[in-house]
Parts: sequence; C-alpha cells; structure tokens
Amino acid sequence: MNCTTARRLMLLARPGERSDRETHDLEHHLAECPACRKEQSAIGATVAGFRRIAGAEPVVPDRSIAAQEVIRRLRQSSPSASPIADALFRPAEAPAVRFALIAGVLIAATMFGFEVSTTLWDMHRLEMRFADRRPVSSAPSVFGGNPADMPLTAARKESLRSLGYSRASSERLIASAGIDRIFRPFLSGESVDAAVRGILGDTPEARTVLQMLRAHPAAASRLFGKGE
Amino acid sequence: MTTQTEQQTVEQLAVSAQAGDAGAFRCLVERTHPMAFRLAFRLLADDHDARDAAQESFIRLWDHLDRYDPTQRFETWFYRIVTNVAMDRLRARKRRWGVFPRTDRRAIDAADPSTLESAGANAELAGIIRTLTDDLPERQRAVIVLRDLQDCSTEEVAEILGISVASVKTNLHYARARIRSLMQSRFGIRKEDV
Repeated sequence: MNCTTARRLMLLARPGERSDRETHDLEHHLAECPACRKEQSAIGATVAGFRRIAGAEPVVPDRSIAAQEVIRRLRQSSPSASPIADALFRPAEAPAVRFALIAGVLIAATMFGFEVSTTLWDMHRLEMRFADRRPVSSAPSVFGGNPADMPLTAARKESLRSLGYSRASSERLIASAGIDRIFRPFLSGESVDAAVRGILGDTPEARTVLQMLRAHPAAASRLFGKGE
Repeated sequence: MTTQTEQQTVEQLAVSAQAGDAGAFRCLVERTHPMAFRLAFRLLADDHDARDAAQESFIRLWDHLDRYDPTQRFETWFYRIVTNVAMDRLRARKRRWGVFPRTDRRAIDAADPSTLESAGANAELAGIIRTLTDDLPERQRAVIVLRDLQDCSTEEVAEILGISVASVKTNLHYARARIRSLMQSRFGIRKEDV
C-alpha cells in the first residue's frame, strides 16, 4: 500500500467504512510509515471535530404545532386528508365503503331505469286503451292550441296518482304531449259512463274502468269534469 | 390520540396511517418531525428552509404512504423523502440566490415572529454548517450530513441516496478531505492541531 491509498483509507475512519482487508493493509503501512502515522491522528481529529462542531443539536420546533400545521396544509391541499373523505376517495383501503358506493349507484340506476320504463309502459297502456279507439283528430279540444299549453295542474297530477300512477309517472305523463291525446276526448262534455262505454263498448274492460273511476269519484271529476 | 397509538412503533403507525387512520398519521408526524427537521436543517443550513422542507416532506409522505413497505425501516424510507425534498430546495435556492442576495432572504426569515426564536438560536449553527458544506457538491454534502451528522451507516446512506456503498465511501472521502481543508483555512485550525 502506498501513502496516497493509505491517506484515502484514513479518511474512512469510522466503523463500517473500511473492509477488514483494508484495515489490515493500512495498519501494516502505518507501522512502516511515520509520516502517515502523524497524518492519521490529524485526520481522525478532523472527522471528530466536524461532527462535534457541525453536529450540535439544532433547536427543534414544537412537534405538536408542526403536526397541526401539516394537517392544516394537507386539508388545504387534498380533500382526502379528512378521515371520512379519505375513506371515500381512497376506496381501496375501505372496501366496505367502496361496496356501499357501488351498490348505491347500481340501485339508483336500476330505479331510474324502472321508472322510465314504467312511465313509457303506462303511456302506451293508456293510449292503447282509449286513444286508438277514438281518433284524436276527431275529438274536439276544449283547450285548443298547443297541447303543451294545457292547464294540467296539481289537481290533474293528483287524479292520476289516485288512479295508481306514481308521482314521477304522473308528472312525466302530464309533461308529455301525449297526455292530450288521452284526455281530450273526455273533455268534450260527455258523461263519464257514456265516454267510457263509447270508447270501450259494453265490455268487461269498460266495467273495470268505471268501477275504478267510481271508487275515485274525485279523480273522475277532475279528469273528466263530471262525476259518475 | 389514544395511549395505544402512542405505544406503537413508527412502522406500526405508518401501517395504520396507510389504512386511513388519521390519528395514527398525526402521531407519526409528531413522532418523526424532530428527526425530519434535524436532517433538513443540516442539509439546508437554514432554520426557515428546514421548517418548510420538513412540512413538505410530510405532505409527500402522505401522498406516497401507500408505497411504504412495512418490512422496511420507516426512518430510512422517510429519510429518503426528506433528503429529496431538501436537495430540491437546495437546488432551487442556489438558482434563486443567483438573482436575489442571500441577505434579503435572511431579512424575510427574521420578519416572521413564529420562526424568530429558533431561527435566532439556530443561526450560529447554520452558519457553521454552511461554511463547511456549502461548497461541497450536492452528493458529497448529502453523504457527509447523513453519515457524520445523522449517524447513518454507509449502507443506510447508500439506500437513502440510491447509490452504491462504494460510491458513498468515495463521496465521503472527498467530502472529508474538503472539510478538513476548510476547517484549516476558515477556522484557522492548523494541520498540527487537528
């Protein structure tokens, strides 16, 4: 080992910085080299001196205040810093929450789809029952003009609901222009009985409809303007 | 914060925090903040920058907590985050100080009452560290701080900086040689005295 290598190894003076072989070779060199022996103690003192001078403990800020500040900054920068938001926005770590969210979305989507399909079916059923047997074009419109302008108000919605239609179905039926085709024939002044029998004939279906309307006279009145 | 949380190791707290336990994360911050501040202070040699770097390290810790492997020693893993944050700031500071004089920045620091006390107490120490390490290349500075001031083993330094043990030793050798020279020239310590 030469002096350059020996002095490089001297700078690696702390435990674990030299291999056993390097330590052995260095010791062998030091035994033979007075200049390197002198240098070694100086280097050792430098390393220790640096640790003593620069390694003094700094004054550390209060840890709980620092933690508060970290939490505050996290809340500002990310909604996931709050435990609830965290559970919601990091669902991988909260499988129950993830399952609940997915189930909720699926249920909502199913209900919405059912509601829409029910409404469409209700409209179709009404039209099939009445409108196709009495052409709309031949029926006088008591309102005239655009069906969308018909004064179908809360009373009519209530009538539909009392006949078994859901709130959403009633509103969608009334909101649609097709409702005009259903109600217009009955608003021409006929009695309910004559109107129903005139359309359905003396059939079991007509009797069922009349029974339904008799069971709900207020609804019949609001729908046709006359009670049975 | 429960007593149970206080009795947990930092590794256990990190695992609880990974599962979304905000109390465990807060406890983890309180437990490791002094360590983060000390390392940042020694790397940056500035009280104000060290406070900011420690805070930023915890923000990054939160963001990357899912990457923590519980079989790994938490302090070593977190040291890596703090070191990266501090070295990023060091680079930014060097660029900034090329435009704004350093004295302006220190005046801003002193104007903040919340940092005034510790900044004053740490100013002398920061000055010494700056004198001895400011001229070192970035990697040598990180190696000497982690090894000699933070007492990490050469293997830990290698893991924290993502370099080989051989590279740690090489950088350590050059850093110590440079510091020895600085101690002689700037502190008037003669070769025979050290």
